[in-house]
Amino acid sequence: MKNTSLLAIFISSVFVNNIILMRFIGLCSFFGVSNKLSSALGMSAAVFFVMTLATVVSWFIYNLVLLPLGLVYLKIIVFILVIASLVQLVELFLKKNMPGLFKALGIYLPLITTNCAILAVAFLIVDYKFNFLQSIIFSSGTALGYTIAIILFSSIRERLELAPLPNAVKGYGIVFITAALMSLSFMGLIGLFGF
Amino acid sequence: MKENIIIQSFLVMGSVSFVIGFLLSIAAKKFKVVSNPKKDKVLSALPGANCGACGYVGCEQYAEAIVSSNVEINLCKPGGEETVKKIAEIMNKEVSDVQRMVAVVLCAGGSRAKDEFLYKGLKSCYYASKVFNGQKKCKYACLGFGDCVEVCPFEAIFINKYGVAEVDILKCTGCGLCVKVCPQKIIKLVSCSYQVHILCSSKDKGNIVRQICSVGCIGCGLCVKTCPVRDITLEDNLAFMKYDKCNNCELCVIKCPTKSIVSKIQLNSKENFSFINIAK
Repeated sequence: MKNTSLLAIFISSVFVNNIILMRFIGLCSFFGVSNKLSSALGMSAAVFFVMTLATVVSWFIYNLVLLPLGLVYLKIIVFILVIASLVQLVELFLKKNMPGLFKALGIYLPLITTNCAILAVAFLIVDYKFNFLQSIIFSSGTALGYTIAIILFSSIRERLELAPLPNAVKGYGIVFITAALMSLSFMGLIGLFGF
Repeated sequence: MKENIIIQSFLVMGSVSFVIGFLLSIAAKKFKVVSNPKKDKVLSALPGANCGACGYVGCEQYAEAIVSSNVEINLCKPGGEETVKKIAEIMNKEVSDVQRMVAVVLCAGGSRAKDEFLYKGLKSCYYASKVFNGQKKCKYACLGFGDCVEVCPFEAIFINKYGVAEVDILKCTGCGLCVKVCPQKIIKLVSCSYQVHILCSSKDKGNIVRQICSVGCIGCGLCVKTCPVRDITLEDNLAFMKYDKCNNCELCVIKCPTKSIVSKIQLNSKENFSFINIAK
């Protein structure tokens, strides 16, 4: 990453390097919960929440524990551990203090434990050698990119339900085609800000 | 040197997981939500399939509904009688105490109600109802495309020979999904002990109803006068049952000039009749 100003990082993570449409990470939840706009909103809220938090914690663990001790190769297992337990912690906290939000997020919160987008962001931050502020901007931007992609996609899918389709592409066929076309259109942004 | 790395990574991994585990255990205690012990018991009695047949999102939500509000305990289809018995034990309810609710479609029209235009769109009541309030001349009629048939998880609704949705009271669990999905709002939940229904929802005037439907209620009021227990009232040119004191005497069925009052006892077989008696 050449340009490391905060704005550039933000724009890059939302649009140019959109986690779903450009990096193709976190596709399972992208296809799984995008059949309704309301569930897509719930999922993206949960992703936003957990992604930002997980990045903060994993940044501290990586830079204060793993890097000084020279145990960088442990990062995969440590990050998985951190994210899984963080989701658990957030779930407990929300259940007690914000039952409304907990009910709204519902099943999507535990689903995030296995969402690879969260883990990917933790790794990308390590790869790009971001400082703390940059990582927060990057992770929230990535989550916003996820939100935009899944909301656009679920709106299209809601309309596809009513469209007269040939039998060959009914169901997931047309869904994959749609996702591919969306990805193609996002590729038009390559080169913006020199990424 | 090699041993050193192994020990170091072992220590780091161990301490990180220990700290996380410790924090989680503290959090679990601190953020513990005291739930109703009855709810946990009901939850363990339910099969845990999270199928949603009861009308709730999952078993947990249904258990909560049972404990907090007086929801019927016999909605769980996969669990069957055994589950109902278990829950009844926990909740100190008697199984026979529960008034079983069944859905009834308050329209008998179908082919006997005239069409206003030929509808050739999507075969769905929802979409048909959006086109000039449906293809029937009667704007309160069952459109007969079977949105309720599709939504029913128990296959308890079918389209009868006249093209009107009808509920099989043996299979109906009273989940109310059809009530929600019907765009004409003519499906109603009633206790299964009431077997006489006025199968019309039209609020049009009598002469109009007579012109467009041969089995519609014309609001003559004969049934109101006839009913010995005064369970029928007349409102907006439409007679309707209060489902309060009706004893299924069927006097109104005989009196009704347009035969829009129907006794389900007559329609259903003897087995059903004995079943209704048991329910009572």
